[in-house]
Amino acid sequence: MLDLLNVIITQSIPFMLLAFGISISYNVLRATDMTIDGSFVLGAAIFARLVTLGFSPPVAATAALLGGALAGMMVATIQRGGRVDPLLAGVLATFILSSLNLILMGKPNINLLSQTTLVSFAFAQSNTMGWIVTGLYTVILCAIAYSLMRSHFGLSLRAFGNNPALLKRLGKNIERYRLLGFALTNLLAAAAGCLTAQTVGYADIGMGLGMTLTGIGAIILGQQILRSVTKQPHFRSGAEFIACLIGVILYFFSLNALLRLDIDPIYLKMILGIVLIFFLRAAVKPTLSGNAS
Amino acid sequence: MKILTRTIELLLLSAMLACLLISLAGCGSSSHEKKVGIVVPLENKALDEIVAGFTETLRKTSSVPVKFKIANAQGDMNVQRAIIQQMRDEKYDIIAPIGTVATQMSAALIQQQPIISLAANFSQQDRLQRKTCNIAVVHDEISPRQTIAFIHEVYPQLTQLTLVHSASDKIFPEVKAAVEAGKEMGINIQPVMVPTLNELYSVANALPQNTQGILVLKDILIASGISTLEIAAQKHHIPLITADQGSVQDGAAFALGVHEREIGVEGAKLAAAVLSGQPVCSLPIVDMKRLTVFMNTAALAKENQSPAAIQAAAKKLNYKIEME
Repeated sequence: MLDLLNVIITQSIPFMLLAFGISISYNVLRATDMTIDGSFVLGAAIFARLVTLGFSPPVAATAALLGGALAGMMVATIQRGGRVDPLLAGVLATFILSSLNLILMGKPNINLLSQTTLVSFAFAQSNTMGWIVTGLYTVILCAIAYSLMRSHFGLSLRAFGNNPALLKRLGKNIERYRLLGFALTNLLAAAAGCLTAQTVGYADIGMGLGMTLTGIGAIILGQQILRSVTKQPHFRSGAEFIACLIGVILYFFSLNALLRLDIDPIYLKMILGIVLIFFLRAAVKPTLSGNAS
Repeated sequence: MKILTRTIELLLLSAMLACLLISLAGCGSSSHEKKVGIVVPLENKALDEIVAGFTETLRKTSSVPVKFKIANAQGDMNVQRAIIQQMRDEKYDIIAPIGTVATQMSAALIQQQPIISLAANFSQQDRLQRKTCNIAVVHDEISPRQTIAFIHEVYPQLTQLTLVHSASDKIFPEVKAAVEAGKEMGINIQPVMVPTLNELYSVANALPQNTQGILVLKDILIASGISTLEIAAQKHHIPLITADQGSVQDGAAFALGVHEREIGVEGAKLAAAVLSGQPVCSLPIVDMKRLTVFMNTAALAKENQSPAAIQAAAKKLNYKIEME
């Protein structure tokens, strides 16, 4: 049981940053940002390349985060003026990033096992210490992002997502909020990629595959469950963050519990889907009935 | 009506739960049995061959009874990590990841148990730089120089070759080596990268006009779409040359490669040594040396190619020939 708990926590730590980034784009900016898959790899790619070129890990990590923010600004620029749908802009940005990541890495896979990273000194002492340090980075970044969401800036971002016309009438530059909002979400995704690469020992061009969909699934699950508990029709920053945490933990709990039941991984995604449906059915009371909708 | 809807929903969910329970495969293990976990990154025929070679040989050669768990991560990084961590926590006696990425992840997450890495790029230097040396490796690369030399022997007049490759981790240095070897032998090799399988069709239909052959190195992604390239080869009456047995079985003309099963067999020998008490770090990094020419006569006929030249070259260079 302790092993299972340990595994769930260690898998959730780097993924939490990605999920929080997705949560901001989904709940606050009201956009499904598919760029996250690419930004996740971008963070890992920049960090791995710079570290292998001899840059210090803090410099490499800062560059990785900035790279993620730039990727977010790119997707915001594609959408500029609402000319391109956010979903489509995300897909286009992912296309660009898949080539860019390969160019940056120089090869599809960079081995980090023998490199000094931000967490290698801690993992050299013990696994527990390694995960404490990794968790600390996650907590710091999540706390900064959370504080931003609670600030006046966060409120303006929410206004941008809910009613950009109103924001414009208030004399605000909505493109500025679009740029900063997507920069923040993709910065968090790049941070998740950067931390993941350090904990799994490599950066790989294919490591972001399906991350956005898993993240969206996890946060929706968390929201549904939290909503049934708090009975609140709408969310605010704190609840959104907690929903994210619940969703991520529940996703990794289900994944690992099923594997420990010796279920063949070929059936894993199907059974995982069914189990999550059960969770949702059990947690959420019906709100619509018959034709009354 | 509401009750009926609710009943149907309950029935559906019960059926889903039943499916779930049926899928549960409970299995106990006796105390003297050794547990060996094999991490397969994705569904692939070549990887299945490696697994078959590994399990069959280890069952025969191990001095102790062995119980296998074969877990396929279906290309999902989160699932792969969960599988490796589970095998670590359940104290598997040996963990055998297939491929470079699964090996790197296993090396990062497992410090104590022995890892027998199959078909991965993991050098002796990588092994020695680890805090704990717990990895033995079977390499599966065939020198691109050997492949090009064989092609040159089969087609001495060939000067233009298109090399189709994916963005896979280990293929890039091999492509570079192939291009350099080609230059030395008077063959201009033009590499064409296909990042996803969807793009293979477009590439196959836009081959350079002057190309005299299509070459695919040992590349899982491209091998999955080999029939697309075979259609193009037949259309242009040029040979499709690969580097693995599976792609020849699936329609390529010929290949210089190794039996995938042999990679598993070599890995099983390492695993048997570990189970008999030998320290994993004392085991050598194994390279595959026994090369075979696999030929598909039906595909050769459709491409208007003669098998005689291939057989003569194989004989001259002392390679075994197998017809698929």
